[in-house]
Amino acid sequence: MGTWLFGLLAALSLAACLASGLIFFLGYVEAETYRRALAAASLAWFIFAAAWSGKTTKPPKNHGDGNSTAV
Amino acid sequence: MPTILSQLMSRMDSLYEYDRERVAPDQLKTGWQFASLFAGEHVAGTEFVIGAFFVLHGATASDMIIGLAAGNLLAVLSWTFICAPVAVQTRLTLYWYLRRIAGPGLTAIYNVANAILYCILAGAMIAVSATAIGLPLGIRTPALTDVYPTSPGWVALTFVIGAAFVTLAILGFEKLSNFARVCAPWILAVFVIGALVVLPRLGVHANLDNFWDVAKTRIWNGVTSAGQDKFSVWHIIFFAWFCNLAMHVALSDMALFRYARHWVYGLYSAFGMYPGHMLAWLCSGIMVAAVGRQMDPGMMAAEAAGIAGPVAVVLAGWTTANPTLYRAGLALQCVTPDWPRWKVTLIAGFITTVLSCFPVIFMRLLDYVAIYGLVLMPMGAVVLAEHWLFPMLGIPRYQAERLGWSVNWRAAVVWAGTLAACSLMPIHLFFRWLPGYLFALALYTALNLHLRKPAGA
Repeated sequence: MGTWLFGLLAALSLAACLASGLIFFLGYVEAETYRRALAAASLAWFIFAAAWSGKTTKPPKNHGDGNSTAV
Repeated sequence: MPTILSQLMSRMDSLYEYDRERVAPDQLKTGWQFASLFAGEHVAGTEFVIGAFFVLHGATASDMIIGLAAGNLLAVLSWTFICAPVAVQTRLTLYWYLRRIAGPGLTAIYNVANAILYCILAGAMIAVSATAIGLPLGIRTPALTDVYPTSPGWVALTFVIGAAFVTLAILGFEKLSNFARVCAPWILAVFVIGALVVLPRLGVHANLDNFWDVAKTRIWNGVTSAGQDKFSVWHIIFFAWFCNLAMHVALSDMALFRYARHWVYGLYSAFGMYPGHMLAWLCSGIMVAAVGRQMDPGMMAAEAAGIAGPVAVVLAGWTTANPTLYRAGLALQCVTPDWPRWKVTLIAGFITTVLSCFPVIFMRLLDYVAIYGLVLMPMGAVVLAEHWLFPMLGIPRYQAERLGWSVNWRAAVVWAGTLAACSLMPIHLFFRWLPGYLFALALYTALNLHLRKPAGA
């Protein structure tokens, strides 16, 4: 599968996560449906985003002087 | 003592040897790389707690909007005008630049202090994650005013989570950091979704026409919870500003900005501040209001997002704790003779896990973040004074390096003196760092003024 395709599917999964919340907020689905849709879209995000990230990212070097951790 | 200190210095130097050289021009990164770095790093487990606490501290809706907009702007400007220029000029990490100014001995002490502070932060993240995992297990999250562990179940849970986090930090920090980057956009999405879906519960209409009324009366209604002091807009501005004090004013992010093509890249920090420290804080405030102001990140997120909620809380806690434990192990390795890094990380992780059992660490997170920045801030002032003020005043720089001092005693006096002064200030903890910073700048400069070269010399 092309790297770009993993990226596209990851983006669509994230959009699906957001959409699940939006359609619940607008009253089109019940809470249980929204939660299941969010769980499924989240799983898809992790699968595709991890695959895309694995193909596009070089192994990281050590992180500087150990003094940078964000809050 | 000199022998112990010189051993410490030598070990610290060898640990950070890979970062000793100045960044070369061909290693510089684009602005968008900084944008994505900041966006990924500033949506952390702490966001679930901080935003919720603003509600409990009686912030009003308008104070939140104004305070977070202004405070985060000040943070961005601090990165841009204080941290990035020094980093771009020197192309060094704080460790190697501070070493030239404060001496390797004082730098080693600073690094160890930093590591201890980070361990405490990691402990808070373990506790935050425990609120999520404890939910299905029926383990009650401690109450807002609890200091000591409240049940054997809570202790066992924090130990199990701590053990898991420490194991992952030992086995695979670098391998797992890729996965952590994947988590960040999704965690931010869960914040937004979580807030959106609980709005109807708070009475917000689908067309959002009454959102502001609900925000003022049911979310940020100005009412403080029991045991919490009242926050004004100034508390919010200052908290948002100093939340990452160690990174901008205290210059830890020299490690990032040494790769910047221009100091203006400091503005890319906005990509972290506004999503992470404004949007996520507002969202967690909405979520805590929807659960009756119960400070329980796991429960807040579960109510809002089902199973995805607690998963987000655990991942947010883990992605903050993982690099922290790794770097604490790296920094503390210098004080342990001949111990492999895994062993040091294990001991540091064990201490961190014990700390995480005490709910006060996470229930007083705002105060802890204030103290953490305050402790490191004076050395940022020392570096800034030496980098910019000394040349303007004709004071020679890098005396510690030129004269071979292991400890620049003037810097040490400024560090200790500033902290003493801050501890005595009769103002709220959130406001002390700024006068303390100015005091440190002035004191360090004054202690070196006698070294000024006469005009024309």
